[in-house]
Amino acid sequence: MFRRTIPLIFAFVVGTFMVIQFFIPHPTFQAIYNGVLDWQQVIFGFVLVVGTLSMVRHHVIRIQRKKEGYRYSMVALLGLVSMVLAGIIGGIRGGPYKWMFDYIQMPAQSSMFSLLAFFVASASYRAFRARSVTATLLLVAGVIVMLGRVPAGEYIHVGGLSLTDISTWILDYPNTAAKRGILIGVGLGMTATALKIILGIETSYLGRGD
Amino acid sequence: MGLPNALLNIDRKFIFAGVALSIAIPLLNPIGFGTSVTRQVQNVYDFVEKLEEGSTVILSFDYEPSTMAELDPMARTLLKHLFRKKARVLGMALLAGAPGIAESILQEEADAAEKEYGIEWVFLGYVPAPTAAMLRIGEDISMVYPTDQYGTLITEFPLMRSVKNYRDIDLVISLSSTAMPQFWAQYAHDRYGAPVAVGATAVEAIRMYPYHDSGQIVGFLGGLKGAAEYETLVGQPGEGIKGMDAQTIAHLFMVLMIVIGNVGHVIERRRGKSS
Repeated sequence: MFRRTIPLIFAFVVGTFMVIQFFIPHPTFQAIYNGVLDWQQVIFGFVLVVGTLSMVRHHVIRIQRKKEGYRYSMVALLGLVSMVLAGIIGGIRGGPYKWMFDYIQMPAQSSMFSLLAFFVASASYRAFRARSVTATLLLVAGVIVMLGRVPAGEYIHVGGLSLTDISTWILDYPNTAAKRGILIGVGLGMTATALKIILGIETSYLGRGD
Repeated sequence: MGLPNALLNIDRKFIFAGVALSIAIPLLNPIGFGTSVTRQVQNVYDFVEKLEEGSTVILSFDYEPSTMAELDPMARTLLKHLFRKKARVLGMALLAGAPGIAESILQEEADAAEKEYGIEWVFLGYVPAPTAAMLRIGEDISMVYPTDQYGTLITEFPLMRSVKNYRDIDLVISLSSTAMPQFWAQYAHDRYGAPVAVGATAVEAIRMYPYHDSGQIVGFLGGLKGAAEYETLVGQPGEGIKGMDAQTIAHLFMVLMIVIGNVGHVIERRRGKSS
């Protein structure tokens, strides 16, 4: 009962209320709605705590069992502890916390992301091949957008139009049409899934349970 | 080995070296390519340009250091424009890694424009649960941010005394490398009617076209090019315009590699057919 019936009733009541309140601008409904939003933020705060504890547990186990690459786990835990301590002791405005953010976290994260440029170049050289009609279409569209999105595209003309113009057309029409179709599909899917959860048809969020 | 094989099997080390050089050389020796302005960026600029003195703008830093190369130039040039228009700026962050970036940029641009904290700008800091925060701001911002980033009650700031919810906000700008701008459009604009503008990474900007065409966002800046376009409009060249040189050469290099690969592929296929 506690693992299945009560959560299902809770999902039904809260889900139905959140749909109904949207159409009723009464102060009572408004107050409950605000309460639900506050609770959402409180729960999210706890999720951060659970996530941190889970990460610590994962790395401690790796270190204890001396799994391959366990030294990286030591670095991860050291980073976590030192950032927390620096923030608590020195505050977050200036001091060691800000120094570590500016000179360790920022360059490290930026460097990791910038590696994408190298891998994208290598991957596009190997994968962007005109093997079929559809692959050729993708290749041509990709090259036009790549050149059209940089100033060079303004100087290259095809049939009186610059690559920038053609690239803008591709993004404004075929791209928007495809994205709109996907968004409508996702929206309908989300509505259907929400209804299934509210009505108790979709129960996978309860886990495998009993 | 033969020519097709040579063209099809260029060692990745050479490709990596080519990318590194095509980015580094233009950064060290700027070429000064200009860039045309797209209507999406022009619309953001026009909207900010029409803001009256004393308008209030939320600038939400919804990105982390990984994408700062694309989004920092946008944040800086938007702040320059907003401060020049004498708009009041509420800085906030909806990702845990964002406050460190937001803090530095807001402070530097406010100092450069000689703006006073608490009167002309405030940094509210990070809150968890982004969608709940967006919706709650529609009711009462002080319930999401009772204090600023440094623990001062927001009621103590003259700027915040006239701001309760989206009705007092003239524009929301989300700078993001995630799907966050879509939520801003769906919640802040669709539910509460707040105008929303977006600065997105080039990858994420693709998602913004339907929202722009439907009028859910006033416009958007896409990738480094978007930042360069806005810098051009504001008339203050920065990292965006500087970066476009490197991006141009890098894209040309990548297209060259794709062409080389395809020439090799075509020659090999023809040889295969004839044999």
